[in-house]
Amino acid sequence: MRRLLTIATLLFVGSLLLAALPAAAQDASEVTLTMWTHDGLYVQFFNARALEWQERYPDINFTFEFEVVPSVFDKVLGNLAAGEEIPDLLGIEQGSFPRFMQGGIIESKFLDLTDLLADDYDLIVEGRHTPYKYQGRVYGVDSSLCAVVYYYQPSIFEDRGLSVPTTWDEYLETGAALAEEGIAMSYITDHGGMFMMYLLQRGGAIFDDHGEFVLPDEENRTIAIEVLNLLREGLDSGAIRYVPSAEVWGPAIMNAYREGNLVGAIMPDWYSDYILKPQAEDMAEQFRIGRMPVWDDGTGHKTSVWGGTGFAVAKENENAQFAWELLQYTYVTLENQIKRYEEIAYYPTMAAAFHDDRIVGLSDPFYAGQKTGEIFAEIVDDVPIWYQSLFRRTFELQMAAELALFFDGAVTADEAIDNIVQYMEDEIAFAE
Amino acid sequence: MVQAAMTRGREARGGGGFQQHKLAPYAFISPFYVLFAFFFLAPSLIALVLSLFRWDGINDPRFVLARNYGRLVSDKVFAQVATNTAIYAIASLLIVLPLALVLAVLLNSKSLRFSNVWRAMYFTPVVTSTVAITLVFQILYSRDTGLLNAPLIYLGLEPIYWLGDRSWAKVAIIILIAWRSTGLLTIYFLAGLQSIPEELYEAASIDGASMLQKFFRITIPMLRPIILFVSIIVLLSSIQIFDEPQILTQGGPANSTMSVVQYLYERGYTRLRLGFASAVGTVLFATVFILSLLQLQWYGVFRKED
Amino acid sequence: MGERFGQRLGVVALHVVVISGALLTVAPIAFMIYSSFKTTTEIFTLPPWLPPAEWSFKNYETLLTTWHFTYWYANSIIYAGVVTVFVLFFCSLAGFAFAKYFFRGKNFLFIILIGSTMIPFQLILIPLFILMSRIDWVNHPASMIIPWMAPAFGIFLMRQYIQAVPSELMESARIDGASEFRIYAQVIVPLVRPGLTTLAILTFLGSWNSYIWPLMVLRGNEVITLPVGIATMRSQATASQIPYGEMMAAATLVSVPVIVLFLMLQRYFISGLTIGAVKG
Repeated sequence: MRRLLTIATLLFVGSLLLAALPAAAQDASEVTLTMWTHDGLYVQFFNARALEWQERYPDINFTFEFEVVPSVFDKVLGNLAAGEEIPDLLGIEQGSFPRFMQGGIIESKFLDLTDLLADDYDLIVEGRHTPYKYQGRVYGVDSSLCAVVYYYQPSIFEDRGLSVPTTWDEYLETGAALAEEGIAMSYITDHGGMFMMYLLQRGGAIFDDHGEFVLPDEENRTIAIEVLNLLREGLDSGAIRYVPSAEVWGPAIMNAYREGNLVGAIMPDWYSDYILKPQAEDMAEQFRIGRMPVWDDGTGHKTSVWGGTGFAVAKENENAQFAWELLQYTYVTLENQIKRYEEIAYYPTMAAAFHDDRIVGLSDPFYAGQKTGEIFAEIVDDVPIWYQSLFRRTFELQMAAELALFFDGAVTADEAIDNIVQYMEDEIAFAE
Repeated sequence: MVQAAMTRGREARGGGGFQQHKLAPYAFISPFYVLFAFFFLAPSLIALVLSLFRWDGINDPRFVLARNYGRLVSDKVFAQVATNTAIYAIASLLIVLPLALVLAVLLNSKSLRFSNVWRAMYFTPVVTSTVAITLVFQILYSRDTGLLNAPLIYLGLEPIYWLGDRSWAKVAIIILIAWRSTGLLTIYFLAGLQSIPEELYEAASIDGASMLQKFFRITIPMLRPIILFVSIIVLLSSIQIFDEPQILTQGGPANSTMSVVQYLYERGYTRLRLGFASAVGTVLFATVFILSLLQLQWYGVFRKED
Repeated sequence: MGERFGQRLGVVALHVVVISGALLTVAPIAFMIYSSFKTTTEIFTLPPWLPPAEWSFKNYETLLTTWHFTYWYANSIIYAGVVTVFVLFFCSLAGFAFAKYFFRGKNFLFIILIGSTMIPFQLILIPLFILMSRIDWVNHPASMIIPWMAPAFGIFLMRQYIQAVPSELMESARIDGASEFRIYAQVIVPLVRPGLTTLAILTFLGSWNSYIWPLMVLRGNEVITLPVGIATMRSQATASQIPYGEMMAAATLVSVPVIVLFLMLQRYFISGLTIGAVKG
């Protein structure tokens, strides 16, 4: 026992001493830039750009510490509450942006980029500014357009002499035919953001440009119920498959693709390199990208939108200026927006890039050489705009629960919408 | 010299000794209370006070009296997560605990060969990393490709939607809890079983007692302190369960697997309502505290002879 | 004859039950280890028992070369080891006091002790983290050790074990003139080895597996612990592959030392308390 204690004490004191060693004195020409995010592709892309960018300052020796941090927003908010330092650059996933709107954290701790973007502001599509707006000012630069397309396996259609559906009616019809063989066209899950994706395409809205909850309005309510009923019809016929959120991004889906009982997915641009390619290397050349089906009555949009990560700059950090410059170089130049598409397939947000030869002419071997940029170029002018709200996350989380009940047949579309509206009104009243 | 000897003598008789004998216990327990007061009591009191405030963690807190508690009572999601948590606790106490006790007795059996090997095998779930093993279970529970459904699919039966069905998802969580904690609880019981004198069993055998009689008349009464300890640990850990539903199902589908602590964490951190989360925590604490006191009372811990 | 046959049947049944349960218990872990030799695609190919096309240690290699795995490993071992040593000392000492002494306020103090285990950690996470920040312990090893040195559950556990030690042994030691601390060190400690072993394993594991706290207080790829590291791997999706295979390899390596530790300490369970007491 005594010997153990001695060893423990030694270890303990030793570890304290090690930790207490003063950090190497910061030389004026030594600059360390830090970044936290949840997606390794951003780290990869920023690292590559940072090496080029640092040439601007030949006298400064830069160190770049860009990291994927698990539960990154919990950690950053905890640090802010404690007055601890946060990284220079933070990739804020749009679904978590409302957490930073609480109490105006985003305004008090992060750089207002509206004026810094200057002329570039208008070069980026407005729909990629709104998710990162707080009181009319922009605090994040998005990583991709997040326009929605249909990823599918053409052979399943070809083998049966079917054509790729372009409207929802066709989609359900083709799906019902395939369902008889146990094949589904695509899948949905109990995720509020995914519901919003379908809703936005139909022209509906959850929040307006002031962040007010407008789902209860007559028009939006009608659209929401129509969208739910569309999904219901697909679920009932087997054209659309329900996958619980626990399995939605993982291998279960990839296996379904492999076994040929799932055609594809209606998903945003990031689905390609973040989800599909890394898990389906063995299925290279089997997939194509097509357009999302549109509503038959001609209303709504050609595509929809879901997701996004806006990079924000910590205002109080010593190197905020450098961080902003790097962000500007990496995300707000035409050249690098194109590189981003070439390297990690995150579609540009600057309108000038959409029709650039290097985007529309790029052929992707994974999609058997398909020029995927062409598909996006057809729809980029019609990406719906949505607005951020303090209560958006609250909505998404509870909507997920209502969706699970709805998909299960436990509630009707009307009841699901009534329930979520009731819940949201209680939550909004409580927050006042 | 004489004085010292007398003191020693008095102490030995357990009589009115003082100094060491009286002060020692306080010295022995003090490290806990010092650490507790500084690192846990203070933050808990802060949380208790915070439950009367609205606080986002960064701006100044605002006093709202019982409003957080009011919302808690009116939120149907809270009622749901409280029910889920109660189900986890009951399942742990009524299924996992007896299972572990029986298993410990079996593993302790003299006629069991290679018992060390089996013990080690039962213990392995305890040592695997939570994050990794939950991932493994996600694969095992997968509806179409999971190992658990493989026999059903093979027999042409409808596969179970382990993580997609509201009731089965709870069962999936309980299976994971049972898998992870049975081995651990077995360890406590095994260690306890070592302290039961072999002679008791021998005497009982001579009297012609059956296995079951020995189990209920010797094993259980002799293991009382350990059973008490284990049941309290089980109650505490199952009521505070967080990791398993968080990683396996994120509380879904339709909040059917969400536990109270997950609710607390989600409300507190993802919605930045630290005051509200503190109210949840306070209610949770009060519930567990009362339940445990009842449990201790029931086992007679506060009786004088203890 | 019949009775002996019945006994034999019982022994066989005992083995069948114990062994099948044991196999069931290890199955997910076997699956994990088996998977660590497969590529990600193979892991998710049905049926799951198909062997990999090529048995290789590639996942292990990648794990050790592309991730800071060795750092995570070393950090976890140091924290878990140091915490365990302190916990063994403080908890057995306090457990001894609660089991064998009568003192003023004992019931009250004991209720506080029990009550302290009921504080949901998530409740105090932010206040405690703010406290760490105030005393400059963020990203400092002390935050991983000092608050965790005397957990109430450990004291409770030791109290339960020490209660079973006959009090007469203490009395005779006192007559021999032993100080209270010496009674603890020389009479009690040797007799509660099974309890101490249990506590050591559990504490080591608790520290080894803890996730939220190290996630909050530690920063940097080289100072984090294993669970945080594995979670990092999980949330990391590089263009090439989501590293399921490597994660399975990591999980395998995470489990090995604790299994070894358990095997090493297991013999202490067997040396019963009563034997010790007779010898003592």
